[in-house]
Amino acid sequence: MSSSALDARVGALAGRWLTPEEETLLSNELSVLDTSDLDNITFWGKIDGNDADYLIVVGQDKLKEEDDYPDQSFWFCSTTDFKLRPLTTTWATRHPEVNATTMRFTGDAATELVAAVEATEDDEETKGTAAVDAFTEKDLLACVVKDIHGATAVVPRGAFVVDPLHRVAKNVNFTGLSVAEAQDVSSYLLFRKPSEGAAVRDIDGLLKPECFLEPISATHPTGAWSVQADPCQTTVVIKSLVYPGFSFYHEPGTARFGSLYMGDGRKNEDLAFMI
Amino acid sequence: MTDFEVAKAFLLKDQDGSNLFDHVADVLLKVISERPENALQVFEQLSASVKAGKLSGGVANEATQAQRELIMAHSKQLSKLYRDPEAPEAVEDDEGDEAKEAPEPEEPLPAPRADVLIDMDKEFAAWRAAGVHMAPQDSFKLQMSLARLAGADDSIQTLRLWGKLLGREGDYFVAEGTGGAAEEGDEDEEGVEPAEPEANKHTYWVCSYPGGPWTRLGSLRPEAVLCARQIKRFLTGNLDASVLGYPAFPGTERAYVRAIIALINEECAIAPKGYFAVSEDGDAVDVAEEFTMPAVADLLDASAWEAYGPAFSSLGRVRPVETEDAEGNTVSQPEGWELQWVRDALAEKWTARAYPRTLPDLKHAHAVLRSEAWPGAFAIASAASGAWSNVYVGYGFARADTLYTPPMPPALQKEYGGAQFKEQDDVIEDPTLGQDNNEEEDA
Repeated sequence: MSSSALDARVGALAGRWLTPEEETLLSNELSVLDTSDLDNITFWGKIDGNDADYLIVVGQDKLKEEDDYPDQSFWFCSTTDFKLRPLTTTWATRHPEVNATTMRFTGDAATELVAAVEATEDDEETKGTAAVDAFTEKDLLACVVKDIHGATAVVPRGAFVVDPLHRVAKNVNFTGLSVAEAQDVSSYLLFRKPSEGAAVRDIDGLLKPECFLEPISATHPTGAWSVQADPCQTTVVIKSLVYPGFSFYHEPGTARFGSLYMGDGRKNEDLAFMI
Repeated sequence: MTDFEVAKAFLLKDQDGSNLFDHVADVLLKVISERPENALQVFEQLSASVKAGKLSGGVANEATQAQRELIMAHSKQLSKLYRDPEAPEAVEDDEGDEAKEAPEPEEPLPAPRADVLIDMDKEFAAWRAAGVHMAPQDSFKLQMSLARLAGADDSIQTLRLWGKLLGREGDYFVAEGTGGAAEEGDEDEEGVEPAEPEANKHTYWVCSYPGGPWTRLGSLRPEAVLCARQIKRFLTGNLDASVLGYPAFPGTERAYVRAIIALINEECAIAPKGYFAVSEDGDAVDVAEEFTMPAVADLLDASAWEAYGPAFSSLGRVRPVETEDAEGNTVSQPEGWELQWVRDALAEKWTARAYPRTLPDLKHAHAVLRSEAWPGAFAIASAASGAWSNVYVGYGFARADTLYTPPMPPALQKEYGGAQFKEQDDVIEDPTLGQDNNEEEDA
């Protein structure tokens, strides 16, 4: 994959980026990844672990005829072997026995956090229960990445449009937000399927970006997005105070934007006291 | 005029620099050039995209003009850092008899003094091994402005970049130095606990963007340490903002930033053991005369490191407080507290890695320690160069495994229970109407 998958600009703005070693090995791994089904692939972020860290990349699937929103798929590798593997899980949410306030990653994806439960058969007193697979660190990682990405998949308004076939597609004519728009938090949308509302396919006529993407304020309380411009206003950086470690940048007047997460994967539950 | 001409004139009516006739022509041109299969169904989108394409050009141009002025102003300010302002030339008007009033010459910045800066390029390179990243241009701007800062104050002995504190509306780049004259208004006020010299061995300056002016933070005070330990807040990026929350913070964000730096240093300012030596009388600490950097493999154990940042007692002080009790004996508080120049780094609070992982035997490999207590704090050391460094990039709050709860307000004070002073009993008189009252009324 080309070097555009790893955009160090956002790292320089956030103050945290991959080490030269991580950057080299990850970009090499991306080159050998089979991306024939993907529209693009970008580095998503890094989640700290005790013995090793996880590097996560996100790919956007090619639009199929019947899709309305493009699917996104994740890959991960640990910083011990740098081998990219698909980050998938059968768990819809985190296992209730894993405490979100104290969780810490080890760096070994195979670690069993909650042991498997074997199926029990019906007997006279109790009903039988189905077998439950073990909840591994890979499952936890997938759930955490899904949570963070769902809340922070920031894109500027207009970067995506509904194409003639009523699918959400990249706007090739996107020329960036204006300087004033770029400093307004309402100019940014979440690139994901909205939690409610009719499918884009079923709506007739013209669609504004707000009609098919939610504003980023949907996932954060007021004041929990920090929007900052540099003194020349050539770059705007948006940081999430709910997931400290998430940064997004956009250069107004250009189509350049990107984001990065660098942290321990925990949500900031103390926000109400902090702003 | 024919009907056709009337209709065409209507279509050609100018509306904000465009007209319907041209628009329809452009849309049809787009249809013909792109030939979408379902042109009828997507006609609205085509029309909208043609319109948007024209509109955005105008808006963008307007913005660029305002932005160009901003960039110009910023660059002029930046150029002061590397060049003294040129003397304004006297402009003679046409008659040549009297020069027009020249603008006030700008006050030149003091000459840069770069000898006090530690080798920052080497430090930044070491930080990259920890994943702390700064654009090379930004780091150079910071060096230029730090050299000017040192030039303005001859008492500054050393200067380095301490790190970056992130805020809601602005970030702070933090510089750490020794020496540095106190600014006005930083003197100890009467009735306020004096700042301790041991806690203020280093002076801190902050700036909000690379190349921006540096602001000196005042001395650290015990009450600020005590309060900062109890509150958990995001910084705003404005030094004069008040710090909300309970308990009430004594001072503005200026003091809060200084207190956060102190709390981070208390745990995260660590050096390889033996680098610092405490003097024989235990009254001062200095760089040891003889020191050899341990091998990287040894540095990967936190026990090879020691914390050198000032440690604070439960009173927020570095030294014990000595008072006299009722019998006239000297009591030191808190009990058993001693001034700690250096102490062992806590192994469970640090995660150590060798960099690079794939070539651990590299001669100039680095040992990278990441703080688990303060996410964003790192210590990096290299055996080959013998150099080590601490850096912090983060929001300025510690990681906690429990949810934050503000402290409870202190218990209500007891009512005075002494019997010595007793309130007079209420006088209770029988309010029933009696003879006396009637007599008064009659009088």
